[in-house]
Amino acid sequence: MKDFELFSGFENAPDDIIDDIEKMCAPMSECEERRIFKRIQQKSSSTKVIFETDNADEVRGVDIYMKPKWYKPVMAAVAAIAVIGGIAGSMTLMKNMNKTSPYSNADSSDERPLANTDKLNIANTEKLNFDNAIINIPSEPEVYQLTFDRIEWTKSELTKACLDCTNRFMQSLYGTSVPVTEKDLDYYYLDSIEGDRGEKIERNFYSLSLNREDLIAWYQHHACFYNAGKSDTDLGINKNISYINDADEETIKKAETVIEKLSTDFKEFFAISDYKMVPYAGNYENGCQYYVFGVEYNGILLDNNYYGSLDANKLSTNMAPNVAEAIVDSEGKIIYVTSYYNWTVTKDKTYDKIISAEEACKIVDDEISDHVNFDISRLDLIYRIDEVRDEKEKVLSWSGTPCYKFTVNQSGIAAHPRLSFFVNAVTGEFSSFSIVR
Amino acid sequence: MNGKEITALIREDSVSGYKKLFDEYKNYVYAIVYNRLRSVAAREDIEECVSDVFADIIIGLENGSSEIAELSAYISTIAKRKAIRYYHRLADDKASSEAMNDEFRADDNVSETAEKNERDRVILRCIKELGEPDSTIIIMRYYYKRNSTEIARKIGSKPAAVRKRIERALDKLRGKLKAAGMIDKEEDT
Repeated sequence: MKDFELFSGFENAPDDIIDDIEKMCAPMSECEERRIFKRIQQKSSSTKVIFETDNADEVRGVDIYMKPKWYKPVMAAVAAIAVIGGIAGSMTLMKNMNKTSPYSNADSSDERPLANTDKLNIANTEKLNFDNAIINIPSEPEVYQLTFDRIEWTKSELTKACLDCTNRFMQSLYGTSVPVTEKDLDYYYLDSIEGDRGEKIERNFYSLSLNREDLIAWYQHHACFYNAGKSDTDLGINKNISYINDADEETIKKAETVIEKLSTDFKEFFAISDYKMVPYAGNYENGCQYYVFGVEYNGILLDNNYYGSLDANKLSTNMAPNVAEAIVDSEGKIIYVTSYYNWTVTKDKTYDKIISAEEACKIVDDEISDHVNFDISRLDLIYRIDEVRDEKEKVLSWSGTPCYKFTVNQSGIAAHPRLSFFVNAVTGEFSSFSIVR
Repeated sequence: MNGKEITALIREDSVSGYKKLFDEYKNYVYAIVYNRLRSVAAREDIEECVSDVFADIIIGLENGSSEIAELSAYISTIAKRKAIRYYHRLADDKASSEAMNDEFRADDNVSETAEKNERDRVILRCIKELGEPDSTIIIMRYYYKRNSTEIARKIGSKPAAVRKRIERALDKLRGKLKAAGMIDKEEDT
């Protein structure tokens, strides 16, 4: 009998032999077990996620029983993240790329503190893997409690802004084109709008749209949303986009050029004095470069995701996207723009001290179940934006709270494929959400 | 923890219960699936099948099978059925595929099957007699077809040391198989 023939007859063995083999040897490596965990999780439609707490009665979110630690998204087929809705309201997919994302700004005289990840000691734990994570935490940031509100335009303000901005865009696109005039604009006015939960938000809301065939342009009061683009712009480009990281110097350089152009040619809706656009994500497709710019307030990103609750009994939490977008064609012309962050902002409080990123990691590690393991796609210090409501559930404004945000773009959980864990940077309070887009 | 305790735990705390279920039965399910598929399936297929088995078990338990009296029998049945379905799908050789009916074992050639099983039991007994870690090494190498590096990782050794142990263990095993009448002198040479 040759060595390799030792077990040739073992196929289809009776139970007692299988039992014996099982008792003698457990062949699966930890890695294989985790792979299988993940597959079970994906296949079992009833799989849920539980975030265990010290208090057994308190369950956050829904149950999970497994998530493989081994699963490292491969660069070519990696994390899907949705950043913005955009005009098409579409989910955008991004590849997860490596390491830090110190977004430098075109204006070097006003350079924000870069993420000094050398000083950070973000270590992998049994539950959290940062190997492929972008870490975006400014060193020694000034951190505030903020209040945001929607800009209210008067009709004449909005008309002027839109005509000026759109005509510069037309000039840039078509050279000697017929300028946009007030006659080309359709207005509508509302004294109230319906909020995300059907509630009435009472304000003076002006909105307009451009009634021309050569260009799309409109301003939507509800979301402080300005959008303009060539009529034939293929919005399909905003798919499969990747985070921009510091390793991609060429993309960052190009993105900064676009930021500069947006800040001048489209200044009415993009050069908002309190904010700064930073390269965040992008995609090159069909000869066009698509950019997503994050929006920072004093060096700290505003959160740019929409969330759903992990608890089916709770309402979803919606926030404005806080991003800008641009599409640049093969000739270097900007052919499409979106500004999605026209907030007014007020500093309510300055925090002298915030907890460290390492402490935040520990909090997340403590809060989530022992049975899960997540590959973190991003760790950002951000301003998380929540609705401020009165006792009648009327939206008064939005609060900006400094939080560490742990983004998981591939949770492996069918019901909640993308997750965010928040740690309040001041109080250490933990919360978790399913990312909707 | 026995099957009843695990099903009780699942009812009480599904997270811990399912984790426990997996921990307790992962090797059992893997052994069943591997035994059925080892000649036709790649490791990825086997992992896929094992995960299918557990997904079916979980769905079954959540759909009212939580009162299952004998959990291991329930798991075994699901694992075998699933493995057979995989086998039929994966097997290139239709003849061999057809030979495996859904009752898991053919009833004909009973004596031949009994003889084969007895032979397998003797081989296993001889391997067991090698003691640890040699028995594990031999099973992993020649039954589960793992390489030296994987085995080394499993038993906390080095690949070179594993290779040496395999040589020595095989020598010992040949002696035992010869003594048990499983190898004649010609084969041994």
